[in-house]
Parts: sequence; C-alpha cells; structure tokens
Amino acid sequence: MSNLIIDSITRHITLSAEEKEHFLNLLQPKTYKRKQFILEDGEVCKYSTFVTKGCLRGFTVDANGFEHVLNFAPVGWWIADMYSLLTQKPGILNIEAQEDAEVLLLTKSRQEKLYHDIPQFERFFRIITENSLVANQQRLIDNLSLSAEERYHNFCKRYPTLINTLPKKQIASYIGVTPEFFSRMQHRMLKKA
Amino acid sequence: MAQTIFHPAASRGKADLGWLKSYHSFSFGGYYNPERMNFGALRVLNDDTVAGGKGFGEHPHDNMEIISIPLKGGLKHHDSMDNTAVISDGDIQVMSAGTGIFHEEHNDDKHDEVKFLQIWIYPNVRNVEPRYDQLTLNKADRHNKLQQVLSPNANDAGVWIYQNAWFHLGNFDKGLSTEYQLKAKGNGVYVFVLNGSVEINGQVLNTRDGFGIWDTDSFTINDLSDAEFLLMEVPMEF
Amino acid sequence: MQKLEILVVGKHPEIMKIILRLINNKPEWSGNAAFSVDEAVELSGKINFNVVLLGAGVDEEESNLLKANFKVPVVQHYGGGSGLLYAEIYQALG
Repeated sequence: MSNLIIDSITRHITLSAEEKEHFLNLLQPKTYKRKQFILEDGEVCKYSTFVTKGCLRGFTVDANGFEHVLNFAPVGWWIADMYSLLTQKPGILNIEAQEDAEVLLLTKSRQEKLYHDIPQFERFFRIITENSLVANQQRLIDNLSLSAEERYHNFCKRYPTLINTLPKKQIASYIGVTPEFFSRMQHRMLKKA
Repeated sequence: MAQTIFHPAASRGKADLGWLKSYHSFSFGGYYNPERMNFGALRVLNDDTVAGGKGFGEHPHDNMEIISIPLKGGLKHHDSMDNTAVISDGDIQVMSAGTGIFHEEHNDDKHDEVKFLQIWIYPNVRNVEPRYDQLTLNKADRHNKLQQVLSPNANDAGVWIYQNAWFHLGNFDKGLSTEYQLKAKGNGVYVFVLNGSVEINGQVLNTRDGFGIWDTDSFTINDLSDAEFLLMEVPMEF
Repeated sequence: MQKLEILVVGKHPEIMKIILRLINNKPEWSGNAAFSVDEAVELSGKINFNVVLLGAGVDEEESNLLKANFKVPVVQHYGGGSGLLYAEIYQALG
C-alpha cells in the first residue's frame, strides 16, 4: 500500500528514506465498503484521498435527483472536493466508494505541515494540481464541443482500467447520456471502420 | 511416476507472412490442433522472426501474462499505458494484460531480423490493473547453472507475473548434468531447447524441441552438447 | 450456406470491434455483439447462436448467468488479435 503512493510521488520528486517515513506517518489509512461515502454534499472536505485499492466516484445530484459523475479515482489516483478543501466551506460533491476500497487520507492541515517539513511536496502537489486542472479543462472542452462517441473515446483513454469494470450507468452518466443512448452508441461504434 | 510429452520442433504450427515467420508450439492464429492447446497454464509459445523494419501493429490483450524474450536483435514495444521500451537479447519483458491493454511491437532495426520468444501464461488473478516490466539479465549467471528469470514474487530474482510459475534459462557445456527441483506441487515443466542437444528422462531433445514433464518433484537434464534451454514451470491445473 | 452464429459478450468497445471484424472475416461465420447479459439474452431471442464468447469485462456473476441462459458452449475469449480466437471457437465446437 505504501509503496504505491511513494512510487507515485517519487516519479516527480526525490525523497530520502526519512522523508518517505515522515510522509507516510502523516497519512491515515481507511477502508470503505461499496457505496459508502467518503464525502457527502454539504460537508466540508477535510482530506485529499489517495486510492490504493478499489475505485471512488465523485458526483453531484441535481434538483431532479439525477446524478452527474464528475470523475473517478481508480488505484493510484487522488480525489477531493477542491473547492471545499481549499475554502474549508461546505461543498456539493459526493465521493462514494464504487466498490470496496482502501485509501490513504491526508488532512489539509497535515498537508500544510508537509510543505513546511519537506518543501519538495509543494512541487509534487503543484504538479498534481496542474495535471488535474488540465484534465478538467479538457473535460469541459469535451463536454462543450465533442460528440458522445468522442467523449466516450476520451473516457476510455483517461480511465483504461475502468472500461470493463464500471457499470454502464456510471459511464453513461460521466459522458452525459442516458444508459439507453449509451447502449445504442456502443453498437453504432462497432459498425464504424 | 513422471508423465511426459514430446513436441519435436517440426511438429509446431507454422505461419509465414513474409515479414513474420512464426512457429507455434500450441494452437495459435490459423494453427489449430486440439491435441496442442496448452501445457498447464502455458498457453502460447511462439518462436518468432520479424523482418527488419516490420512488426505487429496495435492489438489488444486481456487477462493474460505476456512474456517476451528476445534471442537476436531488438524489439521496440509501446503500449496504451505509455510504456515505450526496446528490449534486446539478454532482456526479458513481461506485461500483465489484466483488464485490457493495447500494445504494438516492432523490430527496432530497419534491416536485420529480430528473433524472440513470445510466451503467454494464464494468470491466477483476473482483471488486475495492467502492468509492464522489463529486466536486463546477466548472461554469465546462466553459464553452467540455472538462472531464474521469472517467478510469482516481486522480491525474487527475475521479473514477476500473476501465476505460480518460474522460468529458468541455462547455457550448459557438453557433458554436464543439472537437476531441476520443481517449486510447487501440482506444477509441471515445459522445456524448450534454444540450441544444442539435451536428454531428459530418456528423451533426446534437439534445437527448438519442446518437452513437458509433470507428476514429478524433479528431473535431470543431461547436456549431450553445449546447449541453451528455457525451463518453464507452470501449474498443470489452473 | 448456414453460417455459424457467434455471440461475443464484452465491455471493451475497441476489443469487441476487433473480435467482430475477425469473426466476420470468415465467410462461414457471422458475429454479433452484446455489451451486457440483458442484451445477450435479448439477442438470443432473435438469433440461434452456436457459440458464445466471453470477452474482457465479463465478471464471474455475468459469466454464470450467461452459462445458465445459453444451451450452447459459452467460452472465455482472451484478447490478442486473432491469436487465440479461432482455436477457442474450433475447440468450443469440438
């Protein structure tokens, strides 16, 4: 479990053995059962969450009760309600375990302490945030200008490990189509060269 | 008592596409032989030669452990996880296809052929997150001894895969003998002779012959000539 | 000529496309795709399939449901271009 997060970090920064240990001691491991919430609409997001097993789903619920999937966090990904985490105000994002999951939680206060104790982590989280910003910008552009098929194609590129394991309903929600439309779309795609 | 099966080199299926010449120890592509489907969890053993500048375009794999061992030249690999690498004689590459991965393999040289073994093993865990690994081996470590090049354990010598399988390479001088002790009950070993001539259990094996042995704890390889061979220990039931 | 009707059940669109292309390349075979157990069962009402192939993404529960619903061979397919496909189908049909 700890190797996974350390490997993902040392891709971007160098850490001594003591720094790795110091960082790991700041993390709180937790397990969640499928459908259990890590964060609910209206709560203040206190943690950045790193997934070591399973998959989490970030979504909102509109006034009509329909869910809109914002993102997924499979193994090796971070997830948080960024608005709520940064402002420490209640957010509207729900983060739910898509399947039984194991995570490592880093509180905002410990993250600040980390920047102080091991300054390289500023660089690491800057890179993570930049990547997230680019991905979210791209997702916005996709949703504004691409067809459903093209959005699905980009979903497959972004989350290749989830293509086979996510329920159709969830993928459809992420792309912004109904499950019925999604089924028809899948069959149409088979016929194209 | 040990059970054995002998697959002479000439009995393998053959595909000749011009740019690719492939010998299939087990049913593959257009070669179908119901008696030659697998040896335990070992499903594919292809002895490939790819012409200069040519290769396999992007294609998918899932739920299979794919092992490539170059024998001559270099093979350039690129996959949907964005791994790009060239492996050469002396290296070993493994891909756990898991939930699904696309990859392509091309001869790294524009003129000379590349020769390699492509080996597929059924995994003991399905739908894992796809992974890639490669290792450069010290060939001196297989001279007159067995060099472990693959195992189930990430902390052990060689690369690792999702299966109770162990691969060893050996390059032995004529006249020597070596005993192989199987590592897990219920496993068998498929021997593939890369070069030379050996004798196991009374069966003489020559270059590119295959030999499977199971229901035994160990067996002895007698080198009738300078010989190079690959031992693939795999579960017989999976 | 009566074609061999093959149903492929899977979740990965690109892999499914490749499998169908390979199946339909053979003039004596006809391939159909289903992305879920429900779709597979619905199709079985329209076409008499001779064999069902399970592609990437079909979990154990779905595999068992398909085996319960289909009286023909239901076999696992392992993606890899045409590498294993033909042997899997030939072996399933004996």
